[in-house]
Amino acid sequence: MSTFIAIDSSYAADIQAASSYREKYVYPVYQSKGFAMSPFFGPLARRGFVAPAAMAQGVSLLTGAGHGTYSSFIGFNFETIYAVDGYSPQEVSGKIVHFLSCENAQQLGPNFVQNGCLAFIGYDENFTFDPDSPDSFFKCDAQIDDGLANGLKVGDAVAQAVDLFRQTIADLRAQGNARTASMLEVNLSHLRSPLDGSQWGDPDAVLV
Amino acid sequence: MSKSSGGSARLPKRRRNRSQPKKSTKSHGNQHAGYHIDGLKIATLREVLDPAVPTMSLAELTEEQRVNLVVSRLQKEPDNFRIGIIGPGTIDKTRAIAEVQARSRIGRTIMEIEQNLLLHLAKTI
Repeated sequence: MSTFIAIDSSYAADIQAASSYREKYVYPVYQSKGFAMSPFFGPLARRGFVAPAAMAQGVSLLTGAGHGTYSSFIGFNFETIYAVDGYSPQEVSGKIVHFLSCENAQQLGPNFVQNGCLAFIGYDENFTFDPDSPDSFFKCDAQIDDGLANGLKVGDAVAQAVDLFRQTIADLRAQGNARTASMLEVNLSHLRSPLDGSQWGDPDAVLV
Repeated sequence: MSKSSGGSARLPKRRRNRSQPKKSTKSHGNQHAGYHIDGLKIATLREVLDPAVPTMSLAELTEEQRVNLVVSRLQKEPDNFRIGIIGPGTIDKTRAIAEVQARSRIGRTIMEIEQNLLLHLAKTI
């Protein structure tokens, strides 16, 4: 089995919530399926540490939670880890990338794919969540990881996550949490993946 | 704009499902949801859905009116209103209003959430 790079820049409360969720529930799923984790958490979520690891042999996935802009994925203390054309293609070539981050599916994701990334999954606008119950939001996104770890094609993993988004939205509305449901629905509308077009890669890509 | 050309006029009036909590339906009906036909006075969801009340639907509003509508909705939220956004962090009521008024990226996200909510409520109330 291959290695996945986990990048969590948990220096702010919002990122802390997402990072904590992924470290508790997401990365163990990959590990349980035999994938080795190369973790870059907190102060290690910086380009100087991540870039060499991403170029190492046997890395098949880059994932993590962090701030984002349309053109970048940001690490610890606002340090840019990935920016459009600001990395070696070898860091992303032949790999799947999934970021729980704002905006960077708009420009960075397609730029990764232009440089050989098999598939990029992320969000092209802000990712919002209910501060009082963030886990239900992160869980929907994490369904993508569950699918990838279990050998689904990227397109099928995303479709599985979309189903969970929709079910959670319906459940929230049934519970009378209409605004929270709308927040999640807006996230879903900004989820980008190869299912939306080849600029985000190949929907048949599989994590190996 | 006339009511006959607006989306609000075509919205079907729906009876409240009796199994739903009455309090929730009541509060939704009183929410700010559009503008009266004069384009000056904000209309409640109940008014927007009432075929007898000439109103402008969300799609008919100018950007300025949509900003003002969302701001008025946020002003009616409790003081502990919060939205989390990865990056900016937790946005409280005061900042949410300021971001919408500034039409910033955060403001546009909040606008999108509120508009999504209004479209949903218009379909289900």
